[in-house]
Amino acid sequence: MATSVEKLKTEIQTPVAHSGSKVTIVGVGQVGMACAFSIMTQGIASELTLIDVMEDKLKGELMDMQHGLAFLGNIKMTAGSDYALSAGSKLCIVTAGARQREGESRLNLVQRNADILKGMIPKLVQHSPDTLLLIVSNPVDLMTYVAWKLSGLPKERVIGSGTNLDSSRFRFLLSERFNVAPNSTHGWIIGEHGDSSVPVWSGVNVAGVRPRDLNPAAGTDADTENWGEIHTQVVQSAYEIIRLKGYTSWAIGLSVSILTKAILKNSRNVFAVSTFVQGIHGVEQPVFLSVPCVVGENGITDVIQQTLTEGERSQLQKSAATLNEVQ
Amino acid sequence: MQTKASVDTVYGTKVTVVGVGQVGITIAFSIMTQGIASEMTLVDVMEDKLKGELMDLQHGLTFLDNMKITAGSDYALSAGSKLCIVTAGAQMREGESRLDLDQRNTNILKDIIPKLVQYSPDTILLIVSDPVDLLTYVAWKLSGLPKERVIGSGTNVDSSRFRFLLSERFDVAPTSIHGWIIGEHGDSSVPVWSGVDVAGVRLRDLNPAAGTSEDTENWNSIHRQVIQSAYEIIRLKGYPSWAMALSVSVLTRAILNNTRNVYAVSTFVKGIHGVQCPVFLSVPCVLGENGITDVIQQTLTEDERTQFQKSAETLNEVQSNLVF
Repeated sequence: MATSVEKLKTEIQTPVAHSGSKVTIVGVGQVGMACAFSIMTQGIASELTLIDVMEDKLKGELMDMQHGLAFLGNIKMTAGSDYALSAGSKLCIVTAGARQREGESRLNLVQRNADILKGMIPKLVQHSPDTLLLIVSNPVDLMTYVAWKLSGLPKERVIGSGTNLDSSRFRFLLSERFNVAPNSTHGWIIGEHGDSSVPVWSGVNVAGVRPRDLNPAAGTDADTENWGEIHTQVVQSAYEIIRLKGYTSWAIGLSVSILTKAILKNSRNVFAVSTFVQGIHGVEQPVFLSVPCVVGENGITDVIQQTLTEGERSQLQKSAATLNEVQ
Repeated sequence: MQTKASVDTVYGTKVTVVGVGQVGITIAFSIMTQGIASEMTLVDVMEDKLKGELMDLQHGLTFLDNMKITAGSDYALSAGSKLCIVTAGAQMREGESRLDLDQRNTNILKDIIPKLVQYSPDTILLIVSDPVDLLTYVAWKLSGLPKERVIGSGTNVDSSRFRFLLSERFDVAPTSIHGWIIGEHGDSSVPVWSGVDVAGVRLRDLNPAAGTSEDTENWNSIHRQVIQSAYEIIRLKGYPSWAMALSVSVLTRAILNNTRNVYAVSTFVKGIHGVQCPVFLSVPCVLGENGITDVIQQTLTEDERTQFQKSAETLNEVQSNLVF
């Protein structure tokens, strides 16, 4: 006796096992779940796999997300601790790692997180040899380097979320001063995602008009309008948000989802992400730092060569030297 | 740098969310990422948490269409809202009776609802706090608003869970499976099996016993799973957030954009399906800018009607014991 389901549908061919744009997220803490929900609500991927070690949490989060699917375009979701579930991913996002504690600097997280990646990266590459890796775990520039070394992948395919988020914070804070929308305010922060990030003041503009044209001292110590304070606020942001609400999640989730969209759709937008910068802006060490990159389906295809001031160049080189020492 | 006209009146679509716990803040994020409102205000009592959440949301705005977001404990911030979403509420304490919890929640709403209406006299209220059917009634009583403008999130999320679980059995997308759960948002919700269909083909046509006790395919286990879902999710991850937030954000969009979509939401049901008490329960409603404009009259089985009426009586009993 045929079941109701058999009576309803006549199969014409078997559906695909793994769809075209599959994304795996490793780590279902606040950041990982914010990435997952951002991707889901913006219809960015057709398949999403969550991996972590906490089975109950994974199952609970999976159920809760799936229960919202009637309100969105369908997306296949799976979750578990077995990396085999990640097979066939176009992009693997790594958020797993110890979280910054209040007052702890990112560099202090290093060894703890490097060990965590050792258990993770080779398995991801094993199950999805053609994947791109997007590293979010902090300190992200170091972790991206570690992930690259562990993966055996070409450097163009290992990307750190880097200063994409810092630049977003920068643009939001600038937009408050200008009173225009954040995405009509342009500004780039490059270098280390953290305390020594570099705001490129010469590039800050609204409709092509630069504060530097209106106030040549903007961003320098001589600046009476104290634009530099905005960069200080950016650096302090994460610590401040952690102090106020315990962790950061929404902005990093959105930062990662927009990078995910650029990769999956080969949009070739430009974002400040952490990439291999030996040979760029006079950096001599084999480190990863953020510069504006063109991002597409095969990873990073180009680096935008900004004209930096002497001060900005030496800051970048200094970050590189510090990172290299830790590495 | 600029010459500009002054901008001081809000004509756009402003939403207030009261309560920034897991449900409230996830609702806020859902609304933001789907570009549903042009302005959003978060209100709660915890100033630090409010500030931290506000900063974190704002820092993601460059990746989205702009929207104005404010947050604070002063209800004056909510002025001019087209829609106020209330998620604030008490959790049951150990040993506390149901009635005591209900009274505590009534007292919380006493503090919230009049202020929201004071600052936004034309607003619509969307109540999410549990037990939602009871609290939607309480909110209506406290607000002085016409009943069409006080809506409970109700069984919209139960129906979504229902459709997802059905979709797993049918192996088609959840949005291609239709199914409604009505009545109480909770243990005594009512699945309307006669309405379950894919492409207009009804499950009951393929299996006339579907959802009854004679059903060899045990479709009813799906309804039981829906009821268990919230408890299960709480056990596994601590709290439900994503599905509830998506449910509320889609209702928000329907109201702000006057889409006139149909959703299972909690409304005043005296006179519907033989209910005689003045209670709020979920039925499929047409939603628009002025709230609920129509109720869809489903043909229920005798059993479904009885269950519906029984929920109404239980609610009425509880309501009559509350002090406003």
